[in-house]
Amino acid sequence: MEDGELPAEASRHFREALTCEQEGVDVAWLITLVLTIPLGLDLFMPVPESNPISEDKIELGRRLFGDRRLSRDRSISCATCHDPERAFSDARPVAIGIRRQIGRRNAPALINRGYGKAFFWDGRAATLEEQVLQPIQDRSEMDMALPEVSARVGLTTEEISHALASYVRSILSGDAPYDRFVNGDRAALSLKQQDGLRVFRGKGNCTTCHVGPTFTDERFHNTGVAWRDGRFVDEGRSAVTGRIDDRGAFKTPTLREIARTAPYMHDGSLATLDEVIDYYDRGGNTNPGLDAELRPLRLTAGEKTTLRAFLQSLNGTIVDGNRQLRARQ
Amino acid sequence: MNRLAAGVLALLVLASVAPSAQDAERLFKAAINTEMVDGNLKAAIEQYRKVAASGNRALAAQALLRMAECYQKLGDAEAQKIYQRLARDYADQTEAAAVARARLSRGTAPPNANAAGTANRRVWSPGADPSFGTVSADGRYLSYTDWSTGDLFVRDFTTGRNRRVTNKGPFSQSSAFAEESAISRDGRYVAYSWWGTVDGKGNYELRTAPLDGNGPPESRLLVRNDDIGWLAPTDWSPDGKWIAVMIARVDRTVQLGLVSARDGSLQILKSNRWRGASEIFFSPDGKYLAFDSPTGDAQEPSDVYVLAIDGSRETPAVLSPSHEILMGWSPDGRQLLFASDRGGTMGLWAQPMLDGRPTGAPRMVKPDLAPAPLGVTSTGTLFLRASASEQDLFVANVDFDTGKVIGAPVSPVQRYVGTNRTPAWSRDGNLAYVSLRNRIGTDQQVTLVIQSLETGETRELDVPQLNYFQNPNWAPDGRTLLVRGAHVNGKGGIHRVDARTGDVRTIAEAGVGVQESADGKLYYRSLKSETNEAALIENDLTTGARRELFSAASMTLPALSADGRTIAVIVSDRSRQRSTLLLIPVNGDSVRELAQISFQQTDTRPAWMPDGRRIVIRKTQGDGTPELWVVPVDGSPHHKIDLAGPIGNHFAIHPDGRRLAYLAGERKGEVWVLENFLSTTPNSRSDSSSTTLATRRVLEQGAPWDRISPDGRYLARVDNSTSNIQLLDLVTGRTRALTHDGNPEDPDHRYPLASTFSRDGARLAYQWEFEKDDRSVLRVVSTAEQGPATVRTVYDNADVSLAPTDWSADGRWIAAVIRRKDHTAQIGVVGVADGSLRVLKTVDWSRVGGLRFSPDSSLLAYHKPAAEGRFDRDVFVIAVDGSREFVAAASPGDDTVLEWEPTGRRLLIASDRGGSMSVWSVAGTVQAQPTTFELVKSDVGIVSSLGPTRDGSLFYNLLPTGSTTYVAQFDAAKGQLSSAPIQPIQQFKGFNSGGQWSSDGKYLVYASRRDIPAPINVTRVIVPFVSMTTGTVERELLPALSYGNLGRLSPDGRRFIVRGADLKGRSGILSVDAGTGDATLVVPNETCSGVPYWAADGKSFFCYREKQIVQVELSSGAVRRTFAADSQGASASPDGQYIVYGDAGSSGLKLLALATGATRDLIRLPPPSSRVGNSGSIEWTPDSQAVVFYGRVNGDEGMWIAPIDGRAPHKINVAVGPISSWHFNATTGQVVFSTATGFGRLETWKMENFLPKQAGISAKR
Repeated sequence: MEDGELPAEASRHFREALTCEQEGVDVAWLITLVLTIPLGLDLFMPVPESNPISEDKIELGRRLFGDRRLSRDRSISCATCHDPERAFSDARPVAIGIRRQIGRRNAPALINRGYGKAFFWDGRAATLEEQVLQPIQDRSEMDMALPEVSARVGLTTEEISHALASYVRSILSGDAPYDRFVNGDRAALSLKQQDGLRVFRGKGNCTTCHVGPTFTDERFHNTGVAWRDGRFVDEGRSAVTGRIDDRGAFKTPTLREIARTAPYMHDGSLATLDEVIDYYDRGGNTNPGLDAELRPLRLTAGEKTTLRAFLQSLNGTIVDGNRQLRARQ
Repeated sequence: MNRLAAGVLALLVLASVAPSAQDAERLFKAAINTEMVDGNLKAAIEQYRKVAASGNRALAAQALLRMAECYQKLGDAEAQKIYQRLARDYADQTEAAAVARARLSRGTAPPNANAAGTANRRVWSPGADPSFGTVSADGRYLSYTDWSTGDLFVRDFTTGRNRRVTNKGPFSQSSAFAEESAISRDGRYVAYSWWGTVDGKGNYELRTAPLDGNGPPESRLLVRNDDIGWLAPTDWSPDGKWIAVMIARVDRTVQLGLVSARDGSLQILKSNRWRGASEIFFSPDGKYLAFDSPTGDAQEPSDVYVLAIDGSRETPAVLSPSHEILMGWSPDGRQLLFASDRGGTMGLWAQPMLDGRPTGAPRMVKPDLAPAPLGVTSTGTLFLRASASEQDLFVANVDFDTGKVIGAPVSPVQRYVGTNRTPAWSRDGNLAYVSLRNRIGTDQQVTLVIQSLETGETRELDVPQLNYFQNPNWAPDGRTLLVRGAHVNGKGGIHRVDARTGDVRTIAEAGVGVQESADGKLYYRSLKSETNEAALIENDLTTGARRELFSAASMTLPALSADGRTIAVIVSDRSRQRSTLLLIPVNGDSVRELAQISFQQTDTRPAWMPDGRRIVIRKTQGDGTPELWVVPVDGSPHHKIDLAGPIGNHFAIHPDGRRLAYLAGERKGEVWVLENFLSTTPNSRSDSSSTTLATRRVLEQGAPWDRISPDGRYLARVDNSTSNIQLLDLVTGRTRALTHDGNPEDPDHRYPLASTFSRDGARLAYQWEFEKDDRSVLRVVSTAEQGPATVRTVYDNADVSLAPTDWSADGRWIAAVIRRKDHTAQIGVVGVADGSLRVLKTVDWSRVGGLRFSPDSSLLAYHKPAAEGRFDRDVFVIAVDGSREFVAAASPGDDTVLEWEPTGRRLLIASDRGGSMSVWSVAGTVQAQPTTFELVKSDVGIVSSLGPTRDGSLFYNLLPTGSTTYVAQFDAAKGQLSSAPIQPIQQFKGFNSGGQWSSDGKYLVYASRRDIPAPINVTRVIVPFVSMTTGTVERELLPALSYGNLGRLSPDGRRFIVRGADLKGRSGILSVDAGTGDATLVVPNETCSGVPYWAADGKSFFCYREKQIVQVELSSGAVRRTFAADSQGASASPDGQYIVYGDAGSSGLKLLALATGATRDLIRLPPPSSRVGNSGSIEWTPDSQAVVFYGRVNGDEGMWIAPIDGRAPHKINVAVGPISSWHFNATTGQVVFSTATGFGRLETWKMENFLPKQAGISAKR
């Protein structure tokens, strides 16, 4: 393998090249060489040592993800609310569980969650291994006891958790026009989209929260969405931390694949990107804990148009494991 | 026959007769007892020597091994010879021979003593402050940016030449510059970041240049990307194929990546929000990148991680609440080097590594160093950058009409000197400035300081909501300041900072140099993204309206006139090589050109005089000297302000129109190397000139009273095993007794303490202490090697104790600290010939010292607390004839005397005024106005002088870390720890001891030692209270003691009972208020000589006095009752029933029933197999049913628990030891314990070549 022949996005080959060149390589490393990281994402993904990622586990997780046996009445699977065709999100404002129970929050897009630091809108799970088991047990979602699930699918709870978490880690979105643009291909974004990028980073103040390769700071912000009629209709992060300052705060969602993941916000209350842009343009819903970064943006109509065009450039290539699900459009 | 001769004869007799086998066994056990129980190493050596001659080879081998260990502990090179003998002659005794070989392989030194040859020396002083890159693997080349032009150079340490890599011309021709750089391991290439303009748009590039050949190398562009706002190469992979880079994206994402050296392709390994690493280094095998990273939003603290370069895993290598900075890898990749403040000072530590993962605990390599690594060479030499900056703020009284400076400028800031910038006056005359309290090489910690020059009151605001800010300007309201800075989320903007609280409110998103008018308008400079031009912006805070007043290709920050009507800026036209001072009316009237200036750098904002009639600007003359000039607005001639020295680029005029605050002085950087700290590796190939400033560890076991002979060969020290003065030959490692009348068994407790050599080294004056009488006499002993040493008493007065500190050049006078029994302290001189005492000055009792004669002996320098009750000390100089005295150094921090410079004109002091303990030079003959401090050596650590030597060196003691405190859960039923011990204290780690619990069990209380490496009894002890709920120090108590350890907290938690002395020197048992620190003497030493411990009632305490345990009433000091007991450490049971004490006779534990006075054995531990530790390690369980103690039971040393019902004791499984204190928390079931290892240990270092050599000088300097 010659040096320097590796394009930045060929991370799998990059890893192998390095591995080949080095003597005494740790065999354990080879086990982890199962993901192709799309352009724009970090090569390093934090994976717990207790659950090293493997192709077998990803495949098992993929099957469990679509397995309706995980719900009490065998009516829904993970994929019901996290539709691969919609960047693993849900077209409905809020998730619908078994017996058509209506949930409280919108099912988020499960892309690039391997880079996440907190899970669920309120961050109540610290790891993916912990997170994937909760919807199974939630009475308004799948309503299953873990021993029952184990019995149904013939796997231990740990095996289920590890497989589902590995699969979710393998769901990646990158290689969008934006990624090519910021890596030097100045033609990858149209002029309109480039104008939108300037609004995104400048007057729009979007990068305050939607920052980095995953377009999220992985933090919790009160943008006022939960403030209705003089009160918080959803406590958000505060229900986890008990801190008053966290009332109405929710985790910043990724903006990758944003054009595919409507409706928006933690409660799916905004149906279109235009509504989202308008919402932030007016500074959100004023409330006692509104994030200090929210204020009226006074965007012009043209700026809003370009901003929407830029956001649409964040559609990229989605893979799960090494399977390409959708190329950018 | 004197006692010495008798002892020698007896030993000779013993040695001449080989013992029988049985006798040898017995003698071997007795020798162990002598060594381990009595601690008399010398006597033990002689006993082992006799055993070795017994003919029993197995026993002889063991005896030799133990004998070598004794020598090793004594610092005697004889140890090596014995190990060699064991390895050579006792190969059949495999175990002993193997141990000997192992110790030989590591130089016979104690476990961490392979670094005894550790040396730290300066290899380059560029005279400016360049940005250093990295060093090549052979230590020959170092890349750096010369900021006079912005060009990249490579320093060749072999030839001493600097080679130009880029040649862009001066800044007047090109604004481009090289910034960060890294040399490939083979020294053939350098990678560097280059800021340049392409098509009018400035951006960073990554370039490489070959270093082969002689001419200017041709650079090659690897990376240029509009989305990258900043980048820095940090290291090359060992194979030269990859360059590790840190990049900052335009959206403020900071990324760690690899760039292919072949085609420039970039692979991002890891993204962070906006905080990056300060250092990144490849592992020697090229598999890993180590980096440091902040743990939160703030710059500190950081931890160290190791990332596989294929991204497959990241491993935390060093995680702690302390601040850690990566320093590099050992050449074999088995140690990761990092700097950490866990020891209270920034020290170098080494973390053992295996396959990119930490294995085992880190060890401290060096207590103090500049945490700015430039790389580790293949031979294990660490290159470091050190700051020697002298640039800081000054205030001058100026007649602006004439430009004359009235009086000498003063330096009003004496804390963190060299770091203070950007002065701004408030309307009421308060001076605000920023203090860049950087740890060199890392992001800077910015502190906003507001100081009243009238009262000296200083308020420091850390402004935690901002991670960086600059250029503070007072708002018209006088209560807030406007700063340009970055919020913790990384976003830049203009922020309003409350001058009282530090609260921050963001008021604008862009712009620099903001000023506010009285009608609420902001004026600042902004960059127009479309044209890259600088624009002058008016932002109406009321309406939100923004207006561009003016734009130009280049302009300084704007200055708003006091009436708010006019802005002054200097604009520059590079093409015409011209700069112009403009007046821009804010009402839109036409712009006026006030003055044409030859083309200058445009980084200095003008300043308006308060009257609005003149403007002060900085102009750089043709020779590069910056000057300040007054430019009248009416067009009158300009005139220069008559200030000397290089004027920095920040200045401000006081509202009174008569004072000027300005930045002045040179910024300097230095390159240092740390050698031989990993193993006995050869020195690096860099310049090893013997004339370079260097520090070198010469002894791992220093002692507080040690003094160095003028020739640098001998240390005079107290031999505690014999209570005599001895000379340690630093060349041979041998010791020689100077006095022989000391006796550790002496019931009168006589022993030597402080000493000082005469200038010719022929005599030593020393303090001979009579502890029983609480006095000392001054003696002089000859040091000649031939013939018996002669001892003469020079001064003997029952009312006085004299501690000699220095000897006059003519040998006639000895300077001494005088302490009288009426608790008066004085400084004075004693006539050597007649014992006459001349008292020069009466001083506060506490913490006076450092007396040093000037070279002509006319002056004495000394240090003492700045004021009564204060702990920080200042340096004074007093004439020996008493005619005058003046302050030589008075910083808000601690200043202590080290030595005079040979010229006698300046004094060397240790001071923490620069933020770390460093060596400074100050004027020594007259009080300088202002005091001019010159930095000699930064980051020396906590030191005390042992004296100078004729070769221009200074020997000093340095305080390394020692004790560690642990907290663990204790299972009372099993009598064992039930959780792994944790280290709850992370600050001043290693300097803390005596952990105990508050009465409610919520707070961990301990003694934190933060002072000079002096005897423990003059060390300042701070008592922090750590909340076990939050883990934070909620308060720190400063006991009003001149000495004393922590003592014990009373059962009600309201006071400590301490043996020590108050600030007046009244010694005895004191009660210290746990709330205020006030100390009250309860009883003098005559009543109690031992360490006190509380009775269960909390109204009385027990202590030891002449084979009695005495119970004393706290309120009155009256003795309530006494018990016969030969106690060596004791503790009273919580239920008030018993005292357990270590019995001096049996070495066991005895139980004293307080109701009856009856005593019974709890444990009998006859020597030599057993012993009980000191008082701090005997403790009752909360239920009063058992005691725990540290000791050796049947040869098994450790922490033991002994039920009082007679059941056998069992050992508590604690992995660490020896343990000096242990305390139960009755509320939580936890225990806190501290190790005694290394506590109080000192190292002796030598600073070479910082003074001119004193060749041929013997009687005077």
